[in-house]
Amino acid sequence: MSRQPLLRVDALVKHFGGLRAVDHAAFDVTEGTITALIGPNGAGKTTLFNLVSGFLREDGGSVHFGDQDITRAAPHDVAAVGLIRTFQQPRVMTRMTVRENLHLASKDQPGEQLRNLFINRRATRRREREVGDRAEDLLQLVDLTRVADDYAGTLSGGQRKLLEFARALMPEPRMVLLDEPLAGVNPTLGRRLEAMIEQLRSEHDVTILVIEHDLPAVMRISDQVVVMSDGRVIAEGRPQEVRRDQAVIDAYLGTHADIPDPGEDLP
Amino acid sequence: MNAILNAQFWFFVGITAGIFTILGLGLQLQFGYAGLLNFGHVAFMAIGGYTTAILVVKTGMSLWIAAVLALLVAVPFSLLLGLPTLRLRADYLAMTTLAFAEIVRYVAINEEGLTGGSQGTINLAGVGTATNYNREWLAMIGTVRDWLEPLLGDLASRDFIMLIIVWTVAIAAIILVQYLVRSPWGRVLKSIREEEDAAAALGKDVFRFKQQALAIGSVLGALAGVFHAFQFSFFSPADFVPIVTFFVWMVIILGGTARNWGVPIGAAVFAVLFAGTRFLDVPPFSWLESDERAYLRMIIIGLALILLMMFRPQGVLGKREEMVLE
Amino acid sequence: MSELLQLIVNGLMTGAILAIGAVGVTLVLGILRLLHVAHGDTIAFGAYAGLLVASAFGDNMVAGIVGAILATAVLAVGLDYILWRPLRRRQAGLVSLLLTSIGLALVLRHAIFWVVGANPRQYPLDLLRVFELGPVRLSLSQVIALVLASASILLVGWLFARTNIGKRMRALSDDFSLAAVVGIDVNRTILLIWALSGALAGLAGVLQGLVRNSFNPNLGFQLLLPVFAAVVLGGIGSAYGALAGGLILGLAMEVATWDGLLGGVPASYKQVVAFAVLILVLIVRPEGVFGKAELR
Repeated sequence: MSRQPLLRVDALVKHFGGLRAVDHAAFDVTEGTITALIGPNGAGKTTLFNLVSGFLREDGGSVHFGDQDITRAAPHDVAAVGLIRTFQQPRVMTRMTVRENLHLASKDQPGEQLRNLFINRRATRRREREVGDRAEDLLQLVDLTRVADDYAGTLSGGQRKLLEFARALMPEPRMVLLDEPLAGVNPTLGRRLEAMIEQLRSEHDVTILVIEHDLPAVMRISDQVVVMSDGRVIAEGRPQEVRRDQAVIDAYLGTHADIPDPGEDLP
Repeated sequence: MNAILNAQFWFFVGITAGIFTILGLGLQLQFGYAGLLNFGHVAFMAIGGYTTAILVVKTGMSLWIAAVLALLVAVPFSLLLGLPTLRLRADYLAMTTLAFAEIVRYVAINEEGLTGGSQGTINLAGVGTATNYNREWLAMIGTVRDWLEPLLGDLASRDFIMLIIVWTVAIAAIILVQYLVRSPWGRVLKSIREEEDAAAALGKDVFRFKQQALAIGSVLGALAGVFHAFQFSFFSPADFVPIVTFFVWMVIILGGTARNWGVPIGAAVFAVLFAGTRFLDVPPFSWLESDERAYLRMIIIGLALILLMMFRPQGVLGKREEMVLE
Repeated sequence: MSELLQLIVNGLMTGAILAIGAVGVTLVLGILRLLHVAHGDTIAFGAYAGLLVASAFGDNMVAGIVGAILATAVLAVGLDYILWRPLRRRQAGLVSLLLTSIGLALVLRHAIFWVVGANPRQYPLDLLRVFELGPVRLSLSQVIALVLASASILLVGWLFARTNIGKRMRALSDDFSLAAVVGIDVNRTILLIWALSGALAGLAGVLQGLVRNSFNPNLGFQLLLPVFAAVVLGGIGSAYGALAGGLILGLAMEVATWDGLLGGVPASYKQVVAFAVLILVLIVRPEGVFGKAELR
């Protein structure tokens, strides 16, 4: 199946003082695929996410989403074109309930505009019901229905990860940027999350770019892998190809990490 | 001497509580819900009061129209304040809003031609000509009073009528703010207070929401200023010193920030503390001279603030989980 | 021209006071992350402590100055024990600390009002003795203030350049727990910060009392926003920045009234110059002139 690149990152540059955090990084993410962004710590992966999602200003290069140039777009504008990101440490709204967290995330809410609270109340109420239905579905997907009306602050770390994940799906994104969704998560939960991510791609046609350090998982679920090191993209391709790429091995050997064979099923 | 039994005294306390409720609701929306550290709230009270008085005296406008315009004028002023400052970190925002309020006060003191200067609204038509902008309000109250007197006798005083009016408006304001806060709009506001970046990543235009909260809160501040102008028929820049903003902060903390129905209770407690200690002849206040009483009152308020922060930062009514003060 | 020179000298005096006050604020803000709204009234405390000590020692101004510095330092340290340490233990947030500082400001100011009353006071110095340096006229107390301020600024500068204190404070400002691991006694350094901040506030109070012919307990709050403006101008957390920011701001406030500048700002708007600087710096260059840009 040959599809267009949905996200195109071109020659992206970001300095912090003298440090080049991102150094002419360039790659594409094909629509409907799971692409993993891997690399040793400090490679610039999260910085890249911040640049793409509008939280940092590029010092050079461009980012295109579909046919739109989102290089200079502010975070909320990036979300508006259908590109949603999560954070490495889940940023759930602790003093709101789980359900409120989800309702919040939905897009196209007339009730978020002041005037609609007075002149178009029926549309507001109708949309709120639809949002509620979708929230219920997502609550079931991540199995948080039991805690739906608890404050998000009372959730465990793993539950917060699930909430962060579900929340990113509420606005029906075309593409999600997942920042280490499996980090610090127990293996059982990790497998569930992996299955959900794959389900996203297969059943809902959501494009996914995921930063991950869990390399076995990456090898299992990714269609494409992009490897970064020292701010640069040093390899891009199918998991098998990347695993054998000498530059990648060198980058990881420097950090004593083993890149597993995607064919192996590791314990 | 025994003012506790005097109904008029309690009406006055009630009016103070009502005006502080309206002020408190505005600040509540800005801080309790949007997380904005606004330390310039009193500026909008000044803008509300002065705009009303200036329009009436300088242009001969009807008081009612002037009051409505005063509320509307608060919005562009809040934009002026918000545009440069809303992106600042919390304590920097506190400093700049405080500076903004002081600029407003200094202008009120110095631009005699516009505001009557440091002597206040009595000089609005020029020094030496005592002006009264409040004629229409007083006339209306007089009419209502004549109407009520056969029914209520002595109770039908000016302050009693003012009390009913202020509290009717205050309750309407509480209901309105409650409605706003429970809506999807309010939900975004709360999310911004909690995790601004996550809210932005989910598509919310953080700056716009903050500006809207600032604007609505400012209109409420101006409304309180209009009532202040009605009640006292005269005011000066000294009525709008930074301490008043701190009083409003006390009110919302007492009631527990992020609880709208806590605001009138915080305002009531504060009004009793404030007006009560001014007029009541109870020890330890009865042992002191009047200026010493004023100082003691302030010291008690300061101590109360400190003790609240130390032992009950969620306020008298708030819940720990909902504590906005970290 | 002579008017300009007088304004410059006045500006340097105002600036010196702002500078000395600003160092205290910038340390506390940069390291303890507390916007110390009560600093203004701490300065006022210093002014009045100086007054009371001076009269207790038979109108001895030297005793007054020393007394002011010591008393205010002790006050600041005491308050750390009573207020700030318990709040730190409870991990009180930004806003709680700010509101506590406001409460403290109210208590301090009105306690001073209660003890000394609202009538303007002055230091026991001959007000009529005037020095003329060329076109510039200075009263005796202003000369004393000028000398004292210059010496203090040099001393503070030396303190941070040469001694270990500056390094320790800077380490703390980066990371509390890390500093403790490296072996820095966190609590003791914090006490030092308060002691220094208090001493400088006391000194600033005395200087302000000397520079003005008469003063009342509101002098503290009147200095607060200009001091904040100086802190911000110089870059939060930077002691040198605070010194420079204070001097520059003081000059700006006074020289702005010079009628050679298109008529000049009316004298009553001098404070507004400080407010405007505060707002403008925070908008245009929040890290100030000497600060490092903060990564959000």
